[in-house]
Amino acid sequence: MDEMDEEVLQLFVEESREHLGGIEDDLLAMESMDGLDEDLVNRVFRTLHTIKGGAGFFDLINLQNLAHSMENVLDLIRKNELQTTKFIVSSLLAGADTVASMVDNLEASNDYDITNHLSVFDGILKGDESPAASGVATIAGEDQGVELDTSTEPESTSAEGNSSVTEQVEPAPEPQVDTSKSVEPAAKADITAVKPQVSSAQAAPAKTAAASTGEQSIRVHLSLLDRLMELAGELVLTRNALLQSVETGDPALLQPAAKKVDAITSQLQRAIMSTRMQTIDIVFSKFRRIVRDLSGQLGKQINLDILGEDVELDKTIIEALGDPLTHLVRNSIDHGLETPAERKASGKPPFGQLRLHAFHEGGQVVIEVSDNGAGIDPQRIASKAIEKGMVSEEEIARMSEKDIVRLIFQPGFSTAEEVTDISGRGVGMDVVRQNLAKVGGVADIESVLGKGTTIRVKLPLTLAIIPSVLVGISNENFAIPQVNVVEMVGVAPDEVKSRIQHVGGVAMLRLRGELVPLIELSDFFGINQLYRDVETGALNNERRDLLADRRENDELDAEKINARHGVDRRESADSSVNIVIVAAGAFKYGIRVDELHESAEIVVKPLGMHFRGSNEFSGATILGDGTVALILDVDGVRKLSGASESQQTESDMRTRDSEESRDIDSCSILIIQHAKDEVYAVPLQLVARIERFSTSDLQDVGDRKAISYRGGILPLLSLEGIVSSQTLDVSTGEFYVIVYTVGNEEIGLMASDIRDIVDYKDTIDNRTHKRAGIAGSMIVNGEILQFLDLYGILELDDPEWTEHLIGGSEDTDLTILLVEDSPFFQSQMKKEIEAAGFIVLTADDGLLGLEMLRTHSEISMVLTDIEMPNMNGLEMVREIKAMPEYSSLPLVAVTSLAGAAAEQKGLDAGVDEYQIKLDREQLVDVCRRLAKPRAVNA
Amino acid sequence: MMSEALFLEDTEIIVFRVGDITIGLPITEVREIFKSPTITPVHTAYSYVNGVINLRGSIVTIVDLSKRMSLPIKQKVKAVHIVLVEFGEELIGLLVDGIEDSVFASSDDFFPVPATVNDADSNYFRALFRRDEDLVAMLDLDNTLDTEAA
Repeated sequence: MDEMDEEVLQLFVEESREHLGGIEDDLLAMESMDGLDEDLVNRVFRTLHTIKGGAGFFDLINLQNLAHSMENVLDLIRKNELQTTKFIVSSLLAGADTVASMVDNLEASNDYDITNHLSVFDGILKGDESPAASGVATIAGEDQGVELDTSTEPESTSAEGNSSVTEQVEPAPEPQVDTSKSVEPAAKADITAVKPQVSSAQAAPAKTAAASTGEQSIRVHLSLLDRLMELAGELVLTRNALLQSVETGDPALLQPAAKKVDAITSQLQRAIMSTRMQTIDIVFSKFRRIVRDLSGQLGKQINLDILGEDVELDKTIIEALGDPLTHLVRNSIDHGLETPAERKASGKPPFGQLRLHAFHEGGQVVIEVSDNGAGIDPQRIASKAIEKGMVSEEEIARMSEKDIVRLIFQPGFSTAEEVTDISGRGVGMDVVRQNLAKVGGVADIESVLGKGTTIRVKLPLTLAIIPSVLVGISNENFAIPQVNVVEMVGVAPDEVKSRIQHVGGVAMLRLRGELVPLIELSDFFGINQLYRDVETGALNNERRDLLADRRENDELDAEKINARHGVDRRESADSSVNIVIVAAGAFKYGIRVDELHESAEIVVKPLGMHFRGSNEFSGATILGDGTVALILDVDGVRKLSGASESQQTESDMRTRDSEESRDIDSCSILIIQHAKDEVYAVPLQLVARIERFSTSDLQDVGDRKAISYRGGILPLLSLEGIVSSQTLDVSTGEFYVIVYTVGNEEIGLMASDIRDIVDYKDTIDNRTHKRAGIAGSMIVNGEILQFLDLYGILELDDPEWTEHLIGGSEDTDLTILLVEDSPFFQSQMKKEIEAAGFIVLTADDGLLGLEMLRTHSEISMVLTDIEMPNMNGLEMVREIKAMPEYSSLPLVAVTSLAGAAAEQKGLDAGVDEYQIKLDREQLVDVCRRLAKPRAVNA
Repeated sequence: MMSEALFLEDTEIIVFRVGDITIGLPITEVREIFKSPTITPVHTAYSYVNGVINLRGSIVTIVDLSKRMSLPIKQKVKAVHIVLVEFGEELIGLLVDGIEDSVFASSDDFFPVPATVNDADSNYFRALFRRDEDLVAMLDLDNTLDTEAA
């Protein structure tokens, strides 16, 4: 056996011993129980199940068979089909003893003669207590006797001693015929007599470990023990020196001794800590073998991906992980992943993918076991659960698919069509849940039928020691787990104004082309605000409104915001700002701190029950000076602040991710400058022309600026006073006019400069900065651009005129259904079509689109995006075309980039025309051409 | 509702002061009494949680009894002592104004609580106990510390 296998085997032995430690008590309790104690029987059952599974991997046939036949008996008891009798319990006890003995002598376990045990259990299963069976009870006594001998023999301290046990055991099963009743008490007496002796016997340290129920032992590398001894020795020497120096009162000696104590103590602490921490690799590595063997056995082809094997966890957690993960992996291989033939049939590559991934998230360690197999059919789970009487049909009807899939965590639930050697009778998921719960872990399952299953195991950090960054906010200290810290940013006094922006009332830090929201902890934690005095460097109290208060009344009032900037000392030009950028899942934000202290390994201490309701702290730690620092849960803090601080939520991030991956919302934008530091984006499709004029050409027509242009008057629009507080920068004496059409008239938007035209492929954020006149925001080359709503600004500037312009267009009663998932494009197109005089209904995806169509008979035309969640545009078009009543309904697809292939696909599906999003003229034109009153079609 | 909560046996009682109220706890429910160290303020859903302290390596939540009972704030008295009690599986420190005494009480000395005890709701107390001339209110830890009870 190679080294890895040896280690895995050792782990199995340790786990089994631990499990077996409690089995004796449990069996005895079973004997005395009134009726059926399911938990108890389940516990014994699971113990044997686990051992059976492990034994199977190592080809320990005897052990596997014995455990299996005992399991069969317990299964009957569990189902209440078999009454526990003294005889059965005795037989099970005897069996358990043999199992324990086999576990201690694994290499010889296949030499054990277990035929007697097996026949006894077979007999029990058949319902008779044959005399042959009673021999087993005798064996129990014999076994114990033999072990008693070895353990009291002073010489048998090594493996040789153990192997001698086997030799002595072998002749043991002579079928001595006794009545079970007379033997049984003797066996019992033996057991109780043996126990104390075994545990006190030094010759059998392993037994001691097994006997101590629930107590774990730690395997520590010898070199580490040596190191600890060494340090302890040094400490003693230093103590002597210290005592001496105190006695003699020689300060010259005191100083070095104290320093040495300091150094040794921290080394000692580190060494002791390291005995507890282990990499998850220990658990993960065993799966390489398991996956290889199992896939071979089942004729499946499986690639195993292991990620994050260097994630460190407390020894206790690592040990508790072995079992549940094994079950999960086995389930994936047995039930999840299909055979190559099945995979081929469903259009998948023959190699199934199994992934183990450990990572830190939100201060927790997450382990994901995911496969791209068949997934779990919620229907099947539901019917099984009903069949087993676990839930009623009404309950199922109320449950979501996800919740139905979660039923597999219930005890006694089995989905396997037949009982297999690999993943048993469906105790697997139950074991997973229970074992994880023991160390405070939580498991969740997500499965897509046909696509695969992912099980996420979240483990708490309560047992862990975590590297953290210590920060000071006001007079208080907080620890931020290093795993959450992305980076620390110092904003120099002269950069504060340009890098920290208040856009739409939210403080944002500009960081390499990203916009990171800032959170002021003092807003939430009731901490006094402090500011650093530039001259003295001391922290002083600051009397100032909280960010949260300020936010309430800053409706676009840019002047006010600017004024506040002036008095806001923290962001004024004479103090620098320290920001810790943290990540909570996919969400990133900055926490402003007053002081950055050192990084430290902190020991997490649990907080009391009064903190149960608050998610912003994951614990506390004690700092070097004895004071307490709370550990921030960055995800909790985000939630706490989320409502007011930023509209971005995790689900937004997810949609954003998926939108990015689809890469659909691409459009050309024109970047214009209004004034210094103020840049806006305009969709290029809406721009008719760009012209340059001299300021001297400006005319006043009524209260409006205008310019003579092409023989007419072009009314002009300035952002000043609409969305900007700054005046148009015309210092060069020239300005640009962006000409666009509203209704039938042309409007000119003034700009001080044209910066660029870019193809923008990212999602447009239509939340963070959305307000009247601004449709959203985007980041281009590290600059925040506000995306102008060209109709919106016109409306802000002169509502009556806008109404005149738009209302002047042919007003129709025609209703158009717009199906588009991107909120930005949806609102933009809606506005454009409405401006052309149509009534617009919207839907976010194909399914909702169909629903709208059904409920609104007045719809006379459908405009749809192609790429959408749930049901995409083409699928929806096909569905609509399949319904005869809609045969003449015009269907127009809108995309951001049309391609010949895509267009053909669309036409095949039944689309009448293809249009480019944001091409206003075309969009309006197609609506006017195609939309017909519905009555004609009906 | 308090009648069954009267003490049946002779009890040794630790007597301390919170605002104007003299409060008692059976000595068996008190783990430790010490002068308040620096309390680290924390943000919780409970305004009466004063903060946490480091007690020999454990984090102990400090509950300000006068805030818990919504007593009028008396500027003169400064809460300086902590009475450490065991509640459920955790230790909780009760911030009190001063420790007075330890007395023996026989079961006859206890009687039911009236509706309020010096402005504090009677829910916080299990019984009253007559000590010489004044009354000692026996603290009901369950009702005082349980986060479920409002």
